[in-house]
Amino acid sequence: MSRFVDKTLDDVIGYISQSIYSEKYSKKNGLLQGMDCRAKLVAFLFLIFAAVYVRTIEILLLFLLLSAILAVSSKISLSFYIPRVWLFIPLFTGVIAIPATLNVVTPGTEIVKVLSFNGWYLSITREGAHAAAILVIRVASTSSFAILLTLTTRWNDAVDAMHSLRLPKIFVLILSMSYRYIFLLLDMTKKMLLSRKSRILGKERSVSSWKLYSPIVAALFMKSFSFDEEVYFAMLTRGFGNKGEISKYKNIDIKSAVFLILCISMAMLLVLYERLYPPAVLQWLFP
Amino acid sequence: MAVPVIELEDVSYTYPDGTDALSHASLKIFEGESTAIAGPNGAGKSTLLLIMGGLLAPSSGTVKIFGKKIDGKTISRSKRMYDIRKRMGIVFQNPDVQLFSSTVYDDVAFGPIHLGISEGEIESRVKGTLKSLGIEHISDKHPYDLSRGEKRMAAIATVLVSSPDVLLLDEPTADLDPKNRMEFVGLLKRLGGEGKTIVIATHNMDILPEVAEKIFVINREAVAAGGVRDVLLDEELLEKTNLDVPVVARLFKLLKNSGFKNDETPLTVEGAIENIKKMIEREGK
Repeated sequence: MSRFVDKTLDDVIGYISQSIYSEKYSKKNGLLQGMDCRAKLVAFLFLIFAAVYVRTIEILLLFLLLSAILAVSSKISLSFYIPRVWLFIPLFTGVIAIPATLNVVTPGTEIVKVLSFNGWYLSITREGAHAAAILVIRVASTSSFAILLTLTTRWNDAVDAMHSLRLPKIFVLILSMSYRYIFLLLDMTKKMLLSRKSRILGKERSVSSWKLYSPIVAALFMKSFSFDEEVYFAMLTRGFGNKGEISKYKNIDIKSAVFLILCISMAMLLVLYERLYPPAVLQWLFP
Repeated sequence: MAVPVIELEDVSYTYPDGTDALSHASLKIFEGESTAIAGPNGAGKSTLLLIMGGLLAPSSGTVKIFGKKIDGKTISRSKRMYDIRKRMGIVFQNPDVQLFSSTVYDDVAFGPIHLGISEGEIESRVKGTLKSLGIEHISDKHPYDLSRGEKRMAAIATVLVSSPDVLLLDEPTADLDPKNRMEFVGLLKRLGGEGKTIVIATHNMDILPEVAEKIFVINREAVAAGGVRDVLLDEELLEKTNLDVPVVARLFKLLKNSGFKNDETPLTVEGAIENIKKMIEREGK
């Protein structure tokens, strides 16, 4: 059990550090990497809103296809990209959506009988499966654009773009600081776990291992609390609360402007197409 | 007559959990002076610096910064404190506290931006400061990617860029490698020469003869104060406060005990060289 917890924590920390912090893909010479960050931010916001707005699986799949095309043209390998889109968020959403597929939550035409007991039965309905599929694919397509943005943009550029788009200063500052300190706290956690591991000889019993994790959590909480006060002091001494921020961005380049217009047009066209000609390809399964 | 920039009279500070961090400390820091606050770990040096910087209000006692009385109410009035803070720069003990932006450049620019300095000047100031500290190559790096020494230098840059009149430095040479430490000492000397008021809190006694004119020794309470020579050669006082004489002074004490004659115990390497030259001359005769 303790090995399981150790390994899980270690992997989670490693994954977050690598996947979010890694600037491996943002340094590549691909399509999205070459775009102005503001254009990317606005374009993806439009695509995400459009994906939230559409109601058919067919169009949602088109959004997914679009994100995959963008990933390939940005030199992100699909073997790296697809697990990131499908592994966590949609998978967890899928688990959450499972009850919605059942007749007890969403009554309708039954497709498969899951369980039957003494006259009472549990089955998957077409309407339930449709609702669950829509939810999962929608989450996958919206998160795919968010993942694309984080993979192809250096964090500093994203922060600058947010400043430049006149997002509230305090919001951008908190976001930027959270990003900075998440890694510091992760690093601290990792070192605490390592130091704990270095002092444990022999096999550890699961209950005692769980008991030992609580002081680590408490220590981390106290450290972050004292950090919080000191960081605030450090900001105060440098005049925080007086003037605003400056942005390094001036004008958007033509290539990025064209990309932005194309993405907005694409998002609007897909929504419009769905409204005017409701797709019927999957209607045999989800009427 | 020299003007006191910071005055502390009978200042005590107790943490919310009841621990006494400082007890009845009194001191005056004069304009253009380089002063050291020496004391062992946990002596209250960092708390004292926070009080001197107008960030913490003392539990009792009087604090005056630039002639203005500072208490809990004054600290909460940001406009009044802003005038004081723009003339003061604090380098914190933990550089991670000071580096909260996404790049070193942004961190160094944070102070000037909030002081309302024009965009063009900010750029030249930031680049100039990074260059003067020899860290222009880390300008675009994320603070997470820096070594501890680089973090320390970047934290120092975040303060120097605003060109404050008073510099409060908490263990500024911790984490610096010998070369960077020497360069930093040179920088402090230059700043002192420019008339800046410098206060260094440290337990590293080796750098003090080079950068301080006066030393306050504290161990929760103000234990002693005096000129660098008087304090650094007072073995009884240093032993009582868990401090040590500088390495150079210790070496000459050992030489003296071995029978070598020297006129005055040196505290710096330069002083030691002079002393050794004289000793060789004497031996030659």
